[in-house]
Amino acid sequence: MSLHSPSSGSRDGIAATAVEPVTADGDDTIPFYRPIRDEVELFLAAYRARLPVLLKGPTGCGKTRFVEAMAQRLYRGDLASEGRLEVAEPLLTIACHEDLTATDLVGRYLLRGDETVWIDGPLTRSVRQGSICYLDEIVEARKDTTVLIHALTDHRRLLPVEKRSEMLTAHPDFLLVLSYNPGYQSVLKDLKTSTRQRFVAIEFDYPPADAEAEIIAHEADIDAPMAESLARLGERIRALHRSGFEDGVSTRLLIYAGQLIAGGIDPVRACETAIAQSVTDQPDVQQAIVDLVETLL
Amino acid sequence: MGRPEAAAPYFALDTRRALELLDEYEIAVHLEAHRAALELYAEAFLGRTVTLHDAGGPPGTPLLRRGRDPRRPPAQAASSTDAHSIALPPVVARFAERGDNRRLLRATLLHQVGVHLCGTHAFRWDPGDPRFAPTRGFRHGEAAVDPASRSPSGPGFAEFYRAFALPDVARLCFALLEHRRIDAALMRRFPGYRRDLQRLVPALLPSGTTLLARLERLSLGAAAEEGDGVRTADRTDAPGVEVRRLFARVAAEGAEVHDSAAATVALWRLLEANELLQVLHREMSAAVRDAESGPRHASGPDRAGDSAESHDSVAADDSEQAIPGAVELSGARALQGELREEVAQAQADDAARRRALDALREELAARSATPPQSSSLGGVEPDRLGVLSIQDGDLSAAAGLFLHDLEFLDRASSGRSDLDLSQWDDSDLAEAAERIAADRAARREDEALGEHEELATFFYDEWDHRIRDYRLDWCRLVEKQPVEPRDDQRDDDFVRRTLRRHRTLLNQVRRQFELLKPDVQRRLRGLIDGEELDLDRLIEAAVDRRCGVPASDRVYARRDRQERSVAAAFLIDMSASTDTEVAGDDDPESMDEVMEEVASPSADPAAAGAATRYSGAIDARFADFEPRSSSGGGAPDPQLDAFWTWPPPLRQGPRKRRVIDVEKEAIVLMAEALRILGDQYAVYGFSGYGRDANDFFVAKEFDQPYDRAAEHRLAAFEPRQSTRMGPAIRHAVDKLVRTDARVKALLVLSDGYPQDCDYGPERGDRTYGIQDTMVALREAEQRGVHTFCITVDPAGHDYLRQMCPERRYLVIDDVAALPGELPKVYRGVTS
Repeated sequence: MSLHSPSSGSRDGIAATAVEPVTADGDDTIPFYRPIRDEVELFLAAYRARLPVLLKGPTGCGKTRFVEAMAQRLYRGDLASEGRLEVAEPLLTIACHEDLTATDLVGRYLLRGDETVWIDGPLTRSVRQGSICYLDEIVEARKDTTVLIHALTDHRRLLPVEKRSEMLTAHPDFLLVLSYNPGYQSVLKDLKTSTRQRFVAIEFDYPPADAEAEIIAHEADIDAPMAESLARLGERIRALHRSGFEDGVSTRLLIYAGQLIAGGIDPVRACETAIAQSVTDQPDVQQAIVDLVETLL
Repeated sequence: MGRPEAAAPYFALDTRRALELLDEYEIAVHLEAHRAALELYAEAFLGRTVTLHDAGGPPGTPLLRRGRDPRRPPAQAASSTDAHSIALPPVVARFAERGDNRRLLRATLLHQVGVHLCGTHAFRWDPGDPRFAPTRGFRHGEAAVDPASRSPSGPGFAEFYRAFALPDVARLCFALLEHRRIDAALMRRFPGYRRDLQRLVPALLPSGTTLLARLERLSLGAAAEEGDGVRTADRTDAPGVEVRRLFARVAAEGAEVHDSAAATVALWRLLEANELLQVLHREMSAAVRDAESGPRHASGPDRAGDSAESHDSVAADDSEQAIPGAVELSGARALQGELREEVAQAQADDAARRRALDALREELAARSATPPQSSSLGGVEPDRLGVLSIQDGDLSAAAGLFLHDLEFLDRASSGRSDLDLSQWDDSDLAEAAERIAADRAARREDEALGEHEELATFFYDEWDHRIRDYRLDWCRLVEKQPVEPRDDQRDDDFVRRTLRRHRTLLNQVRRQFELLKPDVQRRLRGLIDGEELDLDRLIEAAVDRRCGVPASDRVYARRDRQERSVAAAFLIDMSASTDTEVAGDDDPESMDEVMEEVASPSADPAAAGAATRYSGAIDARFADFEPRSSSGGGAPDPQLDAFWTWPPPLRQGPRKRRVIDVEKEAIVLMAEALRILGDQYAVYGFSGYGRDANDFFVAKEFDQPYDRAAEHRLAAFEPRQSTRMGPAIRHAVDKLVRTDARVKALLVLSDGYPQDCDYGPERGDRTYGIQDTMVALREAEQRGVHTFCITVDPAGHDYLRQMCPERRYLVIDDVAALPGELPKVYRGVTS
């Protein structure tokens, strides 16, 4: 958490606005990201043209990790420019939820003693300093929030700060990135056309089994055969389209299972805990997954 | 439970509790209890929906009644063309430990899945392939009888087998080898399968010394390790070594189905050279005969451990006494099941399937002159080989299976609704079917009432209060959508008439709903920032500051608009009794409405609202007003013009309104009002006759717009048959639960007792239906659906109190009040 205002998160009434820049502690290593298709090239090209990016994909398939890796490369790593090295928070991540208001993003006056103090919201901060602002699960946010970003995402690159009667011009390095899970949200919660047509959309999906095995092996620090088995397991579970869990099992959960295994837990038990119990509450489906685990591991 | 009526279904394993108990205490594992999980398990491998049926009968058949009736279509008929259907034993009781039985069931399933995974279906026989070079018994020329007509992709298994002098022996050889290949491949891919087999196979190994038993041991992959080759008493072991080599070859990595076929040819030659073909054939026949004759092959706990017994004393070449070997045949099959290579092949050939089936049908017709079982197994009925659905060696068995399949599809696709499901559902249905048959003529008549398009079929459990348990998959429910009526039959007028009739009411309801619309505003207090100041907290803070205490900065408040998230299903009783006319209420327009039409001819809603308010006074003033003589006043209104053409064109004069008309009117009114709220809603009707024929009519689904077509579908709701509420409620709840609304409501509109011809032990018994409905409503509440029952039965109080949750029902004795009451109820239930 690096929202330095006294109001961050802990205040009730304003539900926590999670802001987690990758490099809060100055760690300059680039997070592990294994490219699946051409998403890295696409993103970098979009960044060069400062085109806002929409990341589409199911939960736990690596969208956030991807943005983190890109931000790190652009601001700290091989592609960093002089100016971008100066940016204190290369990536501002905002997890959207249904109570997230425009105020939460832009900023607010707070009472402090006898006076009111203006505190920039994460979006404003990002616009000012020229970092990547990542709105995670944008459809969860209230409608007024999505409209707020309209002026930012076209040629104007402006952020209206209503309460201060200010039009903030975005820093040249600023980029807005949205993520969006088209799967589980209902029709009611779809993105407005006027919003989605402002973005370059990069599509994500769960990686193919061999790539996923590589990822699991790296993240969970387990041997290749076990990672391979977990990836095959993921593939099988995802083949179950019906029965309540359309998203299937995420790469994240497979990694969790791998981490439990690395921690000395019996593989079958680890998968039961990290996968079968997590993806569904239906006993039949859980049993089917346990059967799969027992067969594949 | 000392009553026979409760005991009968319990011991027939018709009830959920009985099955659960059975499953809990028994070492044996019942497919029924694991079906759902295992179907998913198989689907995970195949990527398609998989139907598991037990080898004894179609799905849903109670365990103790599962006899195999050759006249019944096999279970494949129940699944769609592209779905996989896999036969498994209904009960596995081979091991003394439940876990092992479960493992065996799972391994059996995976082995069957392996038939698809390992490309058995890819087999195409190429008679010119050098690996299949003709031998003495290899009847090359005969085999090629018009092979192209059989399978669209070229000759397959059937042609291949027939190329041998003893096709069933060839088939057996191929099956043994192919099973081995599949097991080996699966063990390489799935470590868990290897573990399972290592654990299970030693106990499954047939221990006889017959040639068949030895081959089966090899097929199960055990003999090679034990060094127990195929060896006959008086010969050297050289052929045995060769046979082992063949099994090792198919078990090697990269072996395909063609390698199995090539090995089959090699094995055949080897057996032929050693004059063992006839021995094997005799053993096979004996095994089949034995399996056919003995009830002891029914799997049960008493069979556990049986396979471990040694039958080594039986002379190998004495085929007449090789019966123990036959026992072992089903033993080996317990794991590997039957190799249904033709089925797999046909399933792989979806596009060309129909042509293949036609060919089979022709062939069967050609064969029909001879008894169907007389072909290859020498008078043995392959269907009854054992507890598994063994269709060994007999092509006609496979052909029959396809034929049923085809016929079923033909019938289903032509949309005939009289498809007799009692034939392949629970055999107990036969009983109900008899009862129903008597009324079938009446039912047909009723069918003529309206054309319906069948959408899907569902099965629901039903609560039997006498046994305090659910009867499994007891009711069949068919979802139907009224077909758009032809132009000349369409009641275009219905909605318009209703809206006109209830104009006053509609305006009232609209206004009330308008108030609902901004909805509950949630006021969040104690915020550090917000749209307004919270006075209380502000004062508190000011006081604190004066006192020199650190003041709280949480003095703001914010109004949060809570978005309405409501899904409501309206379930309309379409029973025959809704045909009852509503007393003292002429259709369609009463004088009151006429007055209103006159008083508010303009379409201006404000004016209409004002007029409504004064309608009472106007009613009095125009009490003797004669509509025809009036010009109506004001600007000409097309609606009003239509009104003056009286009577309406479709009607032969005024007709009494019936209960169902009032129900429909209430819905039309709700639909209008719901436009304002924007809630999701669905309109369903239900009726039926007997537990296998519950009709569920869809006028509007949640995601369908309320358009002209929906209006027409609603207008087509007519009184039909009985009121079996349970399945209809369960089905509607299922649909509601699938919506993502925060508030889900089910409103049932009925006119009396839930009742049906077999809703309870006898027709007059109301308790059964009431109890089932009660349980269905309780299930709904448990699943987060608010329910509300409105009945227009004046005597309704008694049973509604019993059936419905408290304050979740309403009895209307004056039917005409329903349209007015429904919106009130709706507001209550959804907010």
